[in-house]
Amino acid sequence: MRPFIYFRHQRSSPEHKHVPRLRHCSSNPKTPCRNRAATAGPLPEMPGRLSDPGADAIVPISLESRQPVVLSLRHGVSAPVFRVYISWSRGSLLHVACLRPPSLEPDGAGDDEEEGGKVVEVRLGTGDGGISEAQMRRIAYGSVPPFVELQSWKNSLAALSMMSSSSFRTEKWQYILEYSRKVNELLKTHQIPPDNVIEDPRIIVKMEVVSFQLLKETSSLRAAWELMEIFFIDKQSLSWLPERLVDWLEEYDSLVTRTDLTVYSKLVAMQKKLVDFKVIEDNPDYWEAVSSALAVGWLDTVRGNFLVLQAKLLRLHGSYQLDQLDDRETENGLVEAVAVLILTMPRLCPDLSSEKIGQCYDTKPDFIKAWEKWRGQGLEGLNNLAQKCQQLKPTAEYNGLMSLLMGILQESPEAVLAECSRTYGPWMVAHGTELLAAGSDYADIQLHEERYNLGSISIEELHWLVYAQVLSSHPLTWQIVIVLANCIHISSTMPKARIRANLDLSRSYDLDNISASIMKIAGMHHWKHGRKGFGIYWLQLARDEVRLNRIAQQLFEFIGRSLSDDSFQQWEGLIELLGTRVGSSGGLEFLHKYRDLKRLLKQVEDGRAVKAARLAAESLVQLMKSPSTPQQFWLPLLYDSVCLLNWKAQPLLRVSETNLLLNKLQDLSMAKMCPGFVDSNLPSHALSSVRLALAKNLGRAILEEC
Amino acid sequence: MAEYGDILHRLPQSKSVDAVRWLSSVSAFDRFVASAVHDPDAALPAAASAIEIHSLILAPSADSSSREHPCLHLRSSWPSSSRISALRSSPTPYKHLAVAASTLSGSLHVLFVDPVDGSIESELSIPNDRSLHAGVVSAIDLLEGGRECVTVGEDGRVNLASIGESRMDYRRVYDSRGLASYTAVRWASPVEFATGGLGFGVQWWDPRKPGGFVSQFTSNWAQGKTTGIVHSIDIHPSRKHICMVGGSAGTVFAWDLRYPQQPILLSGAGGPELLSDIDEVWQVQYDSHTLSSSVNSATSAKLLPVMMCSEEGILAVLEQECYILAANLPHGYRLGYALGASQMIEAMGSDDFSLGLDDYESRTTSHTPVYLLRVTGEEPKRLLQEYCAINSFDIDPQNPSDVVCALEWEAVGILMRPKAGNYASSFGRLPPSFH
Repeated sequence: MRPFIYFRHQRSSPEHKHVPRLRHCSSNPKTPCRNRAATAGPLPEMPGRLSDPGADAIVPISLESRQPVVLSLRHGVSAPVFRVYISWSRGSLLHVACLRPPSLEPDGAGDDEEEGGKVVEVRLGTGDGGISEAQMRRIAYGSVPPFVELQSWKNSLAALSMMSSSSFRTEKWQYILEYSRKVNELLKTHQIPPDNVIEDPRIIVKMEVVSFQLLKETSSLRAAWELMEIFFIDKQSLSWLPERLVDWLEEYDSLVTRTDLTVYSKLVAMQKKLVDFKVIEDNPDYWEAVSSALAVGWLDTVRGNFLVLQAKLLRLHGSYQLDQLDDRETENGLVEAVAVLILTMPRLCPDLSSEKIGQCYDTKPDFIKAWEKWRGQGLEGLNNLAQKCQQLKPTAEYNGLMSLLMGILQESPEAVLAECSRTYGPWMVAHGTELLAAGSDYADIQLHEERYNLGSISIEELHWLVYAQVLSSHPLTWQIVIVLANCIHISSTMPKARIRANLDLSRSYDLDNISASIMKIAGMHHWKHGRKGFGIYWLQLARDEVRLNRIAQQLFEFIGRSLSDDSFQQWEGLIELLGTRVGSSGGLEFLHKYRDLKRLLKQVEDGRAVKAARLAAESLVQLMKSPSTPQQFWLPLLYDSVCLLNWKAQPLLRVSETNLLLNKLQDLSMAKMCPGFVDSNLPSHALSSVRLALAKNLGRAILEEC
Repeated sequence: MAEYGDILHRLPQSKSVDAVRWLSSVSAFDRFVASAVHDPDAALPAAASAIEIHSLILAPSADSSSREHPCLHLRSSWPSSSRISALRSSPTPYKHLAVAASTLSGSLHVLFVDPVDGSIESELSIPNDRSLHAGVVSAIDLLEGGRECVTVGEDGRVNLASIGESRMDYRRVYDSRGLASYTAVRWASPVEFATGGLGFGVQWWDPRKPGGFVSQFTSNWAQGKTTGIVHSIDIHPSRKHICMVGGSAGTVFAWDLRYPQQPILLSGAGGPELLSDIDEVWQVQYDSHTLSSSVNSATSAKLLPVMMCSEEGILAVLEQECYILAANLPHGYRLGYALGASQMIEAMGSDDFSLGLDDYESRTTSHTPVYLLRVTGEEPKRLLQEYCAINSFDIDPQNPSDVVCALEWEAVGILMRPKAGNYASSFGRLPPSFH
């Protein structure tokens, strides 16, 4: 009847943290465990909310594709296992604690002294390709400044309530564009100039290798970001959209396809295959080669040899089989139309480099004329053809970038968001929403509308929460959350982090009770580990009277034995801490006064000054009056002060004061009969000598006051 | 955003940088930086922490400007069994550099680094068997010359480790058994040192004398408004009686042993609140670069400029406010004399000098009234305002214009200030009202 753990990997956050769905299934066979574990698509669940598949899903995603992953644990705890606890550790670590039942036999009876259980660490998802964790963290760090700048600009605008004015709109584009450019710059890798100034050749080689790797890692993310920038933000270049898209394709051609092959290598491979295949259209590689070749504009003159190849490909394309006539004709038409269009695309640039395709126009009127003509030539027809082709071809094959592009072209913010989440993870979603919202009013409303089913937060906030959770799960990135929390409103989901961070967060959200309990936890932690000073420090900050009082009792017991020695110095640091009046120190301020009295008494013993003796007597009376002085210290206090009571020159205590002390002594002897009385470790004659001294003092005081 | 033409170069490390120190080098071309790094994602806990020795190389910048771009090139690395809690360095008489490091688990390590190629020649250790410290060693300081290292911990112990060429021994100076914790330590002279702890407490130690510390300072200046932890102490070799202290609540103060009851607050509650009251000042260090370019401020009454870094990402140089003790102020003429500064005498000549006095309290001694004036001090020179915490920094003793700092976001920062001149005009300057 061993319980088992059931994981389901969710690909929404492959870079930073794997968030598998976790259900602790009981061994009751009736529990429909597997069904419950179904995910609601890429939209992450709110913490503590069970998702109902379908109902909360903003974007429907097919669920059938992935098999559940079963991990077997080697815990080494011999049967029977009594309990299994599962908890998240930092990052992608999971802690699974397997406990044996508590031993029924009396202590030490069993020979097989076994451990009571074991905690096993399970590391989930070892970053399957893509961007390394370190690189993703670097992006997370770097994107904070532009984001914070954008938010603070927004906040200042909101304060001025000029969100609707037209000047705001243009300004907004500029700010968001600047934000987008900065993030884009961040995703670019910094190329270190390979100047040969440094003699050591190893260094240069190393740098180049590093930058090359980084380039590969982040380029997919950057391609996606740039794509969104082109469509959503850069209103200036809206009219040059196709042109920018072609440039974009040229740069990221290798990413659009499923494999990492470049167009060149694909065509070379294709060329060889052309001979062998009869029906080349049935080969998926063929389509890939053709599409990528078209995408990057292979028809330019520099690569003339490929023009020949292209023509050959296109011609080959026509050699379809009779039974596939209709389908192939459509595709063939599309391919040729696209080829011609790309070849003749007009571009407004005086000096087009020979690397690029298109026809150049120097002046704007010429260009516009050509542009209109070019558009009219075939866009309409092309569109129809493309739609037909789309219907004919299965669509599931797209990879991330292509699906993103499709989502953008379909003007579906939901699809874009889903794709961002699925392929690029929480960072992309959180930061990309700014671009998406800027793209259209519809998207803006979709993202910022409060949704009841999400707990009355908007989709944008939800994604920021998810991102914040991912950040706070890693020991190196949790601090970002604080910076972000200060500039946007993240609801009060607390990251598990260090004391200060939590204090900061709770301060900024006016959650005083939370900060107090954090300080209490810190205090108790230190106290239990023997760092008494630290423990008291935190508890004082938390103003925790109850715990300080209990601590005081423990300390008093400890002190009762050691303080009568000359070991005061040991207590010095602690007592000084108690002297600070920040917060409360429970009954502990007594210690501070006690220390002062001890000091004065020492001066008295050294035979110094009547002044010290007077002060000491005053402080003794105050201590005895004070309700915070524990009863167990009454007798030691008095016993220590016998020399004051017997002060030769004059009685230091007045009659009323002496009476008070005598009363206390009386109380003490009453208290001895109560249960729970703590006796002091004083010599047996202590009480009588105190009594005697008090009586003597009383007599002298009466005489004095007469 | 660096000011005054300073440039911060951020060099990402892809792991947490806990502490950084310059290592003094033999040649001007090879400069070494020691950093304590930690990678929580390391597959094995034993490989998570390390001390790395980098050489600093200045490469020309990409955009043909005259600025140079510093790069760090890893020369050697020493794996540590536990995360490094403190890092110090010093040249030694044995023709190598000593790097001392303590860990969160209570061990102390000394590495000897070759000053030519930055390789680690040998290593001495006191293991973490709870004998040296039970738990976290919170601070260490290496004596100039690398012969002795003082360690303090949260467990309340104070130890002195003597470092030989092939062995390291230690002796316990004091053990408070957790009743007090020490969180900062700094040598004042070859035989004395200062520690800091809870409640802004600072203690002065002389191990030659029996018992515990020689004297202690506690925070009564805040009138109970605030309490906190001392994070860092610095003592200038030419002014051994002054402890410069940085701690919680944005506090930087100087404790002068000659006037132990009156700390001089550079920043914090009850004084000039230059930093946020929830900020933590992680480190303070006297800034000799600022000093070298400001002759005017080197009067004996003034504290030397001090650099600090904080949790809120601030790296700044603080200077003391100008305190003037003057007798019979209402008559005025003795003020300039008391100050001894030519600008002030000038100011006395003008009618509106009182505008420059932003605080005005009187203190009565037994005979004559004495007025303590606070004249608006120098504005702190904010060198950096980062989005992330600056956890540690070090001013290059050989090139004081260069500062290396450990940024929370897994990066080493190299701040290169203009070599000289730029600061001179902004120092020794009086508030505008005086001109």
